[in-house]
Amino acid sequence: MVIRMEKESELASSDEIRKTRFAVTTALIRYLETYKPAQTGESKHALMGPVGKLLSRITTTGDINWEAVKGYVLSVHKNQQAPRGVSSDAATRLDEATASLEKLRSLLPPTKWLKTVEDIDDEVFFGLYKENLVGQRRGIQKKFQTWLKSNVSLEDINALLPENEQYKSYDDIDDPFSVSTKLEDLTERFWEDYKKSKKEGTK
Amino acid sequence: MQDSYSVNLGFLREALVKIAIREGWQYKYAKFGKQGRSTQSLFVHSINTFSLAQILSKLLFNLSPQESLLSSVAAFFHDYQKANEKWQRAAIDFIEGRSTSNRDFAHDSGSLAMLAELRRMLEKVDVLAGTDLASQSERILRIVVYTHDAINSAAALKRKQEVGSLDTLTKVVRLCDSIASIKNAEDIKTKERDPDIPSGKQVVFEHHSVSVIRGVISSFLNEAAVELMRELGYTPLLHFGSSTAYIRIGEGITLKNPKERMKQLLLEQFRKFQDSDIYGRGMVKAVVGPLPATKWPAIHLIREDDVRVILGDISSQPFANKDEAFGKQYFEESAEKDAKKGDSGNVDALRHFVKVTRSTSQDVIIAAMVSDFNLLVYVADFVKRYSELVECANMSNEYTKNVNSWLSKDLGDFILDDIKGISHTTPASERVRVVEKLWRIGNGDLHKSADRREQILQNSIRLLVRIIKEYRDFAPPLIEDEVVTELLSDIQYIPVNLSSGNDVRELSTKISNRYQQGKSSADRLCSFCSLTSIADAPAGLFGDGSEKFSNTLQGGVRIGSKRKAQVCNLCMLEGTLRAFFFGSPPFGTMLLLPDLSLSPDGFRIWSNAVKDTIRSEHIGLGIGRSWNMLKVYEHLSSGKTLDSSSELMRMLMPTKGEIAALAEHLSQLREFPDEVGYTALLESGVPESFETLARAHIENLIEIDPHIMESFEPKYRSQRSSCFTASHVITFLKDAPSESKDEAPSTSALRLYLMALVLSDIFHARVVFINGYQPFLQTAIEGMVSVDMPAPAEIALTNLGFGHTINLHEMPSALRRLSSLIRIGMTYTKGLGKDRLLRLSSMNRGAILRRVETEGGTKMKSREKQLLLALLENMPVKAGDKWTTEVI
Repeated sequence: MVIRMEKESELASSDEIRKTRFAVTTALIRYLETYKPAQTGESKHALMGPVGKLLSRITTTGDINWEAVKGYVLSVHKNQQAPRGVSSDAATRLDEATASLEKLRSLLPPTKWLKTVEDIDDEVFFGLYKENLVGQRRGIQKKFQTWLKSNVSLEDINALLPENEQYKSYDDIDDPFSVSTKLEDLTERFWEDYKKSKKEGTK
Repeated sequence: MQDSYSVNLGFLREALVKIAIREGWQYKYAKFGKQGRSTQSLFVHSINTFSLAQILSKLLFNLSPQESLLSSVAAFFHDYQKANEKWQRAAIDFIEGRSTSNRDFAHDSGSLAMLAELRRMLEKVDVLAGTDLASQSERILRIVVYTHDAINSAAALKRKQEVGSLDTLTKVVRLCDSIASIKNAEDIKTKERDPDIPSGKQVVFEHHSVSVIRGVISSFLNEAAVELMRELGYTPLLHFGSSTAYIRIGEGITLKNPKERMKQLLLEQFRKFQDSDIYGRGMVKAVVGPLPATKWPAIHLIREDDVRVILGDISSQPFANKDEAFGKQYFEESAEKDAKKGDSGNVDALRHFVKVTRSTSQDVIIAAMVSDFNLLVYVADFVKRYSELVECANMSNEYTKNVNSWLSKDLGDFILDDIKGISHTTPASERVRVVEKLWRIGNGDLHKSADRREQILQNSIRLLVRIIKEYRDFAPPLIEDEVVTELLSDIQYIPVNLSSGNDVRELSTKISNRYQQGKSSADRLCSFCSLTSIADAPAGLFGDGSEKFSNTLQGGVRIGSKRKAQVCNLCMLEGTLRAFFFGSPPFGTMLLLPDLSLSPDGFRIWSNAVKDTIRSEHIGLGIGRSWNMLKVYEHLSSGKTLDSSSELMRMLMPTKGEIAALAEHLSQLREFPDEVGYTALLESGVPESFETLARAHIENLIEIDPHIMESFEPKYRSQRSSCFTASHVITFLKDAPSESKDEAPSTSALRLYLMALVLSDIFHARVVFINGYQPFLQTAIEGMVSVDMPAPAEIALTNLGFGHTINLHEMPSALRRLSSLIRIGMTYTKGLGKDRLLRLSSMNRGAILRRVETEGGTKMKSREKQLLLALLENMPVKAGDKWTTEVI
């Protein structure tokens, strides 16, 4: 008996897979924008919310009942949301996300699917972590700008910088993590005041 | 505003360099070939064309200073239209083998938009250099546009309507561009019939090339060859990795005996090296051999003045300054040895010694005895080595007579035969007898003098200087004739006959004999370069490489004795010279080659870069220092580049300790800060204290007088040291750039790769890493860096999205990704173990984030989180994802 092994042709190019994977990640993050948990946190579990449950449900090489998955995810969403409930927008976005997941699965052989779900899990987590930090950063930037307005004149700030790095208004000034090292003294003073005001706030 | 024609050329050059860097020309192509072969950056090409215009406008076209300046500026900007995105995209598509229908390589537009673009850059140059070039934008554009051939008659007509007719200076720029575009030095010959060469001028283009870059000796050879060419009437135009292209106007100069002159020039190079600070710093270890195992391997290099330095250094070493505790230990160990042998010779001798010296402390006097004996071993070895040299010339009797008289007069009651018995393995009983004579116990009682060691040292110096003075002629010459002849055979081409008929005949006979005799273990070839070997490769000079596999080794045998790797004269000399850079064999060599070619002005940039990088190490700011590299990695990972050496210097901020150390050194040499001489390199306030002086020097704002700095001992030892010619820079690395000793070799290989990328970025050069000791043959490499990586490190690079080679346009992305990986590994994921860089490279960025969380990431401060996020942004979304090649 002769066993002939033939290589299956790829279902899609790596570029197409990458693009679809990216679409899945974006759709999942977009869906999570509708999710407002009762308790917030920075841990992976807290950030991923119902998407964590979704991905664990589809980590299988067998058949997936997508409608059942959606129902399960929406139920988790509803229970963890404060106030409890799911908006119609959330359901629509979840539909879009699962549709793109379904499409991605159709492009991949079963052996690659499990690893890809793991990759998506990582990518979504990274995206959420980033959004969370960027939000914090924007908040700090606003506080920094307000602090500068009440403590230092724009001329004095610009006097510390070379011509091509000078600011036109306070609103152009970056957050204290990103400004030039030439403003180091100012950022240090800001952080001191910031810590003081935070302590006073907690009292 | 200053008149543009009275401008300082140095300022103008600096301004042009700054503008080109700001425009990102260092990552844009001017020349390119398939798969990144024979590429050249727009930056380097522009500098080279500018430099050639400087030379040729005077030498060939006899232009006035005003026209010379204008043609040089036009030469610098002659390819500025290649910087546009369309042209660069087309070039990248070609390099990467993508076929596109709408390739657009046009760069000769005379449109108003292009004029505005040129004016914008010239205005910036004017601000920096104090010139008034922007007002001449139209003329410069006219010169530039006609430098290139129009693609068809319609395009030619169009540009004529836009900028007017041909400018007289166009041919200067066109010729310079044509020469700057050659890919090999020998191609210069094809330019002799260039129609832009003024008629009536007798122009000769020539080149010289060297077949192999062995290291320091090849640098000497290259320099000597350039000097010889100058003496023959040639002016260097462009330097390539191992060759140089020249121009000569008019009749050449004939040398009577070019080979002899070449020998002299080579000797001058060696003498120059002997006067360099590298020679001074490395002399002791290089000429004495690795301490404390002495054999004076380079005794012939020692000059009379060197003896004082060498013996002074040896005398200050710990083995020549033992303490009381050692004295006690030495006595106990001697007693143990006696017990093993079943006698009491050593102990009796030591007790007797203590008794005759009438010392109150046995341990102290034994320690002093051993210390002086250890110093004497070096002196004795020197005398013995010279004795061997003199013996070959049948002058032994005279030498013995003289040395005996000098010994008894200066050193002790010795004769030469006593000296021959002194070595590191001499037993205690013998040592005691030798030191009794040295101290002249009962006669001079040297041990009772407070300056005992100083007297011994001075007497030893006097003895060795006498020997050198009297018998130097019997020591081998600085470089032997045979070595010079072999070295000259490394010259592949030079337009003058360096070999006589005899040389050629001898060489041919030698080759023929070797061929007829076949391979034998008795007549083996150099393991490194295949010339005839002269000796076993000494491990002290060549390190592990000396015991490597050689082609006469039988299967299954152990490596050792007769099966050691062999070396030829040249490799031996190279090894000896490298020992001056580091006492131990270097870990490897970074060879920096021009980005295709290097002009005299490009060479100036190299010289500054070498000076800055060496200086940064000299003051203890080595590139391998993690505390400083954190800043460098963060800088690179934030998308900024290290496009100049001064940028690197600015980043390597000194610590308080270094400033204090240098300030203390200055205060010891000068009473007041204003007595410290310095040159201001950048505009800065006048330093008022020793501390501000030290800080300003370290931060590269001023340069303190070199003679004050000469005796400054930096806190840290230099990690690297360099020697350079216009054709290549050689940087020796003492150790692998590891964070700790137990780090996996693949991890340090990744760091080495980043170091190569950084050097390539700073020098605008191609970088090759050569492991251990190997001559380098092929100077044309694909991509910007070439580092042989262990297989796991190769996989890590693939995971990071690196291809087989890194091309010019990929440099910023490559620097960003690799520095981000290394920076993450340095702080955030220490728990991943010694091969963490490899593991990190195979992880998605979300997975890295998870890992950081498990290592206590939730406790991270906000700033650390922001930095981590910025670093992860540079990493591939999924391991193996390529970066998108965007045009900067």
